[in-house]
Amino acid sequence: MSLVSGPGRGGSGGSVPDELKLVVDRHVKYIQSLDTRQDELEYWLTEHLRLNGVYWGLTALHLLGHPEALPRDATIDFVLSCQHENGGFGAAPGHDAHMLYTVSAVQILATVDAVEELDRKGKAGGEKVGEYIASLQDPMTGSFAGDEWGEIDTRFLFGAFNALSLLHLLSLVDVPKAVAHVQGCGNFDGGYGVSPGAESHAGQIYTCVGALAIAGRLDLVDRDRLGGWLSERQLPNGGLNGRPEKLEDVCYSWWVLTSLAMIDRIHWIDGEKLTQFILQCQDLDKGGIADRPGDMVDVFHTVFGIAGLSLLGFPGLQAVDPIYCMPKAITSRIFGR
Amino acid sequence: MPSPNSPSTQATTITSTTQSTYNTLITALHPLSPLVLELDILPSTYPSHIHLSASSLALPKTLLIPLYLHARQILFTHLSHPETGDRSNNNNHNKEVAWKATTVILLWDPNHITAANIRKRWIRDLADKENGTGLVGITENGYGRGEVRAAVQQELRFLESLLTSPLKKHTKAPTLWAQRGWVVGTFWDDVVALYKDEGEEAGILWAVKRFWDGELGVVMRAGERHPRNYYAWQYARVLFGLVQGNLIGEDVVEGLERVKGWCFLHPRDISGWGFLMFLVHVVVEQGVNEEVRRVVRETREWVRKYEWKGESVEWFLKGVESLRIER
Repeated sequence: MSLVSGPGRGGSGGSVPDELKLVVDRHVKYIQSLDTRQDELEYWLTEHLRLNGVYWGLTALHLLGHPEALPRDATIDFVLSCQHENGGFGAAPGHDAHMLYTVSAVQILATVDAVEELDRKGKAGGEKVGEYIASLQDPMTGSFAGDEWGEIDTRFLFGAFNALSLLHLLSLVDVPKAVAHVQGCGNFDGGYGVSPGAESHAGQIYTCVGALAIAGRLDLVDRDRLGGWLSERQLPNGGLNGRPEKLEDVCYSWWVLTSLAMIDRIHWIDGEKLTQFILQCQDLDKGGIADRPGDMVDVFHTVFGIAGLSLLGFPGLQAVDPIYCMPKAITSRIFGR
Repeated sequence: MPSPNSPSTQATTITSTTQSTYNTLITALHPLSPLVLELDILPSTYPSHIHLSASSLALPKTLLIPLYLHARQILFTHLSHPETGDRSNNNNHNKEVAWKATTVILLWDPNHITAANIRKRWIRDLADKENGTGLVGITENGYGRGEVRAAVQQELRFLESLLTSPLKKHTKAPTLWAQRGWVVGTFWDDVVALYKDEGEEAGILWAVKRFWDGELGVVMRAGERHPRNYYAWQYARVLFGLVQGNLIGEDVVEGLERVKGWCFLHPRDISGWGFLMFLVHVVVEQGVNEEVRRVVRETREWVRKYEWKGESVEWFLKGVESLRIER
């Protein structure tokens, strides 16, 4: 899957009518075309994101109601080709193992109901994948590194909880210690940062609140204070930014919105205005969604724009799980609810 | 004379021109005496060659792409033939060729974790060789602490080039900032030794202060290249944790003053104010509340003077208020 931006642009495809539509078929074709750009130069230029890209594309297709649009077997084979013997996954074949790609691998396999392929055909079974992830927890602080080299980031903590819970292996890690670390990352403004003392950032808030949700500890969140900070992310044009005085960006339609959803305050932003903003970021002709109108589209902003619309209840989309950013039907199946 | 394992005989698409340009780029990125280069990736409309000066390097995107693909080829050839334990000259040469190729990989893709890891392994392997023999000085393979120190300095300079140049993606790349944090954290003694002046008395306080001042400058330059640079200022926090034990109170207050000045020049930068808040917490913990009160007073005066309305400054003032040290 090619992860370069373009060729489409947000806000193109003719004059923008008052009632914007979600051009589902164009987006499906756009995502499918990314797979076929394999021969293009650009395929090799974004290798370090490849497995993440498959997760973004696959999830978008599922939410658009076209789960069959990517070939299942080829997807599974590609995912497994990224695996190392220690259980971890790299971004692409031959790339070093890292939490970020291991999480995407587990999410992809869970989405296409192929987790058992790890035991059947993988270089390491599901249990070993869980052990790889668990080995990255710092027993002293409860935090998680991304890989053996030790970079700590709450993204990796959330990733660990996300993947381990999908594998039903959350018991492999010290959940209370990790929760305590997340609390340490909380700030006076109600938000959370990448580590204790770091300023609040919508992306980090999603990872921290998501981790607390998986651990069943949303009681630790100051919902009103956090809801206030999150609702201040909405700009006059309806879009959301990720931090004070930043520009709006479609991907924050996910990070901010789902954080609000998890604390039952999604009504604290103007959903209608946000919907219009996301729709304006589409390339109505070539498909795909950009970070803001006028910029080049890419699969990252496509999935998070669609996920945001799903959270807002946009008609015709499959429901998204606010914690996992996966189809709710899938997580319901996995967790039996 | 290329050996049988030389990458140039394996890549089928590389032209002699590309190979020659690649060699030029590699040479430019590995100056004999490591320095900080200003790097730039130019629009494709620029003439297709490498523009070099004593302290800068620029090339158009259309030229960098085939060079990146060549570097990538070298990298993956090396990764698929690790030849661990083979300490022959041939293997060492191949390792070095792959290590040099990572500079081109990271020039194209600052979040290429695999390339960054090869660079970490390079320094770690040098250190292991030194430690393994128990000798301080020259090891049986010719590597000594001097080699490790030189490699550390080279890595810091290379990273600084990537992080402070006008490269949009690089200045904020978490992979590059984490790399810098790893080098500094893992080779702390070597880093401090690099900052000691010749003939300076025993003790490292001056060296650490010099290092801290320099690193804050790197963060600020990156913060200017990419406003609200979350990972640059995160590195500053990690760095402070490393140096704190060797900074005297005055140094911390000086840092507070310096960051405050930066914030006044970049008042819409929440990350700058975020780091100022971090230092405020440190100073409060040290019990020097008067300095914090002064910073708050001056910030309020600044807001009044410029009739400033901005979420970031308001956030800072609200945050300090919540510390309840103003009365």
